[in-house]
Amino acid sequence: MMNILLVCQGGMSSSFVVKKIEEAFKIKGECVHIISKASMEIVDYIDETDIVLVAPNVLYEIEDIRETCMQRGITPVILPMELYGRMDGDALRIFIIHSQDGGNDA
Amino acid sequence: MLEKKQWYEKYFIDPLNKYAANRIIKSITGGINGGVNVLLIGSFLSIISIVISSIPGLSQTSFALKLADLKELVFGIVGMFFAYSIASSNAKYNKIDKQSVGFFAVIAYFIFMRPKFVVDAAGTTYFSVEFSRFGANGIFVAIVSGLWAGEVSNFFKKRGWVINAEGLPDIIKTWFDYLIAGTAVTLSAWAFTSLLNIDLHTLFSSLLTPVVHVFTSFGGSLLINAIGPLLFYFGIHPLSVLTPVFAMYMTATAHNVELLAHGLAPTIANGFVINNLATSFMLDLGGAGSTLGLNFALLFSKHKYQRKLGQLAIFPSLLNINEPLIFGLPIMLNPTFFLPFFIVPIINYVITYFVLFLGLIKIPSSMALSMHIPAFINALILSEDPKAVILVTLLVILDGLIWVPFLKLHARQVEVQES
Repeated sequence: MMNILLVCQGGMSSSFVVKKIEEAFKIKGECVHIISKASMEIVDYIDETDIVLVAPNVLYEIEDIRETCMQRGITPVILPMELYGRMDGDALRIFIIHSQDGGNDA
Repeated sequence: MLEKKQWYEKYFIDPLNKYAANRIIKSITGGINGGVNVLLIGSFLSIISIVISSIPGLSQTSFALKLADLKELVFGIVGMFFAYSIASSNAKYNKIDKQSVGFFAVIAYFIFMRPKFVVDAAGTTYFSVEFSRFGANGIFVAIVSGLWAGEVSNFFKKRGWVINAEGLPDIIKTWFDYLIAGTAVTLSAWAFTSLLNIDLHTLFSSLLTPVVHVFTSFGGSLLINAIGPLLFYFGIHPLSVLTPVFAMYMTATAHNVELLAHGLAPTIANGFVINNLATSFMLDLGGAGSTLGLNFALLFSKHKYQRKLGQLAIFPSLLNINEPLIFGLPIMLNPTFFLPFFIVPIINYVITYFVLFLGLIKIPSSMALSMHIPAFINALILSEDPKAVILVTLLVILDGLIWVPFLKLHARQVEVQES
């Protein structure tokens, strides 16, 4: 099972978005484990994480986030602003899957 | 990303991002957010005590008074927790042990309090210190304690100035790892307070009083109210920049709470400060930029895409989370929405200021500072005045009406794009 971590400023707005993403995966019969946290908590959860998603409201610290993730060999994926805002679970699901297809060598 | 950077990115966004990503600023922001945990417990007690005092005949019973004491106790010791959580968030960014560093900050905080040991006739020793030093009044001392403990520990740890306890159980290893750093934090705080004889609380209150005055003035507060949405418009989360400023407003709140505890009515004549953190939180209608009115306007829109976003966003909006609107509409970097997004919080602020100035509503004077309680309920908790709920409701309606023409304009633009 894939473990996904979505981080935003306080872990507030992302908690609504993860629900939508989880639903979208469930409808397709794919099982993922997805949680949302504040960006400062990445270090506590990264060991159990395969994919790190970054909300558009913490781009100011993307360098730090990237550094923390890269130490575990994970490339953080920045979610597009409008998909995040519209909480479009299915579009986000497709975006996440695509990001993993070709994103590993990025 | 190859296109040339806009001027505002180069001169406005990049420096602010650098500031917000600074370890010290992030530690303060993260730490204050962490301390909110304790404020939430107090907020909950506030709700219970508001309910009880609204029941005739119950408000002056010993039960109600004991509950009020409990509320005061919980809010009164919050400074200590801020010291702990600022230190542990600093340690998190430095990737060192959060708990050890947090403990050192609490020790430092107690040293900076300058407690006295008083022995009474029976030989019992009492720990004596002004109670306000435990609470939000000591927020700046808490910030210093937290950062000092965090940075000193980091300095020692990163240089390898630790007692090596290789081979011993992990927990014991952690004790020894931080023994030198912890001793250094403790001794330095003690030397500063006892040997140099400097009282950090007094020092801060005399140094910061003029600064707090500027921020809590009508103009200063207007500026802060205007900056929040401006930051968000450019995609910078306001809390990442403004939380340290909130510390100023928190001292003003602590001042109000103290006056209230003396039994004074919350009016200007009695020395209460209008622009304190409780007032700011009361005006947080749906998140930074006060977008709750916008959300209602979306719900009643003729256009399907607007209604749909409104329905998606209403629950987060009620909890003062407006990322769905900021990024979904979007408001961010969208010239169509700049004006209402910028002007609405200013209008709300000016109206509220004069309502409070004229004494029509009690000046909010509560440490029950939680950001994610629906605006209508939060108004009652923070001001303990039902009239505040009416004010907030009217403001939300007004805000919604201001947004309507801009939403119509946007719908026309979207139609043009699609045809």
